[in-house]
Amino acid sequence: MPETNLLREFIKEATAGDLQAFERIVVLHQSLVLRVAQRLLLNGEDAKDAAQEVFIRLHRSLGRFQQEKDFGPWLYRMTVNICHDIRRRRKQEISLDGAMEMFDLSPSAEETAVLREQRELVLAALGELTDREREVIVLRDLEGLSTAEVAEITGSLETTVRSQISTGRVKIRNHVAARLRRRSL
Amino acid sequence: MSHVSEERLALYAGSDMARDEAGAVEEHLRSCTGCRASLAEFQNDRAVLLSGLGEPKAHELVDVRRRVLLQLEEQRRGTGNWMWATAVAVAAILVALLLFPWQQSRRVIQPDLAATYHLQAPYRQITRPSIPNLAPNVGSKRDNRNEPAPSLRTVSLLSERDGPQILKMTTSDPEVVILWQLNGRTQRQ
Repeated sequence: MPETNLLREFIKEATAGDLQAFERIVVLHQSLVLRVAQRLLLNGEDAKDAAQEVFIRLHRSLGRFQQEKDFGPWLYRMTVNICHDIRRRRKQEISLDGAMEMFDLSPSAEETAVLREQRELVLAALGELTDREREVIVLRDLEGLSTAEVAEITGSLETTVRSQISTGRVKIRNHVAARLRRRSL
Repeated sequence: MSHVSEERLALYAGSDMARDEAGAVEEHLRSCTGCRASLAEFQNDRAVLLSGLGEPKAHELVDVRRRVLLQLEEQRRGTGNWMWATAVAVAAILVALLLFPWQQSRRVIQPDLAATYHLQAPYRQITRPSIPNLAPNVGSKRDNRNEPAPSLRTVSLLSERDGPQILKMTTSDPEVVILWQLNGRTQRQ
C-alpha cells in the first residue's frame, strides 16, 4: 500500500470535498484496481468500466475509512465484486483475442515463440475457470495475497479458498498440457 | 508407491500447504520422478501466468482516471442543480407560510368575533343558524328531532405557552361542549 500518512491526508481532504485529493487517491490505486479487473474480466473495456465503478463507489464511501489498513482489502473486495457483477450481467464468453491484445503477449527479443504460445495457453485456461476459481487464482497467484487475505476478500472460509485454488491450478495445468499434447501430434 | 494427488501437488506448488503436510510431499518427491514432473508443470504455469499478465498500460490508466473525474464532475453538477431546486422550493414554502397564516387568521377571527358578540348577551339563546356557523356538526340530530338548540353558557379562551389558542364554549346541554381551535379546526365533545 502507498504511504499511509499521505493516504490519510488525501482521504481527509477528499472527504471534505477536495476533488484533487481524490484524484491523487485514484492515481495511487488505479494500477491495482485496473490490473485486477483486467485479469478477472480478460476484457479491456469491461475492466475500465469496472475500475471506474470501483472509484465512484470509493468516492461515496470515503467517510467510512477510519483506518488506512482497511483501504487495501476494501479496494480488492470492491473490485472483485464489481467484476463479478459485470460478468454476470454481460454473460458473454471471454474473447481470447481481446485478452491477448490487452496483455500484449508478444515476447521480447530475447524471449521465444514458445513462451508466447505458453502465455496464450495459460491465458486461455484462465478464461475457462469459473468466476470464483479465477478470482482466487488472480488474488493468490498473481496478486500474491495470502490465503487468509483471499478468504477475507471473497467472503469464504480459508479451506474453501484452498480447495478453489487447488481446483483452479489443476484445471490450468490440464488445459495447457492437453493443448500442448494436441499440437505435438 | 502411491503418488501425491494432483490437487495436493497444486497446493504444494504455491506453498499453500501446512508445514507437516508439505514435509510428507517433499519426502515423496525425492523418490518420484512422475510427481516431480507434475510439480514442474504447475510451477511453470504459475510462472508463465505471472510473466504474461503484466501491468496496465499508461494510456489505459489515464483513460480510467479521466472517466472517473468526469463522472464525479457530472454528479457534482447534478447535485448542485438539485440543491438549487431544493432552495427554490424551500423559499416558495416560506413565502407561502408567511402569507398563509395571515389568510388563516382572518378566517379564524371572524367566528371568534361572532362568539364574542354572543357573549355580550350572556345566556342568549343562539339561533339555530348560528350554531352551524360556529360548529357545523353540532345539533344536527336535535334539528331532526325538532328540539331547541342549546344555549351558550360560558366561553373561555384556553391557551398554552407556544401552543394553539382554543376557545371553549359550554352550553346548556352538558353533553355539548365546543372546543374551537383558533387555527380553524373545531372539535366537539
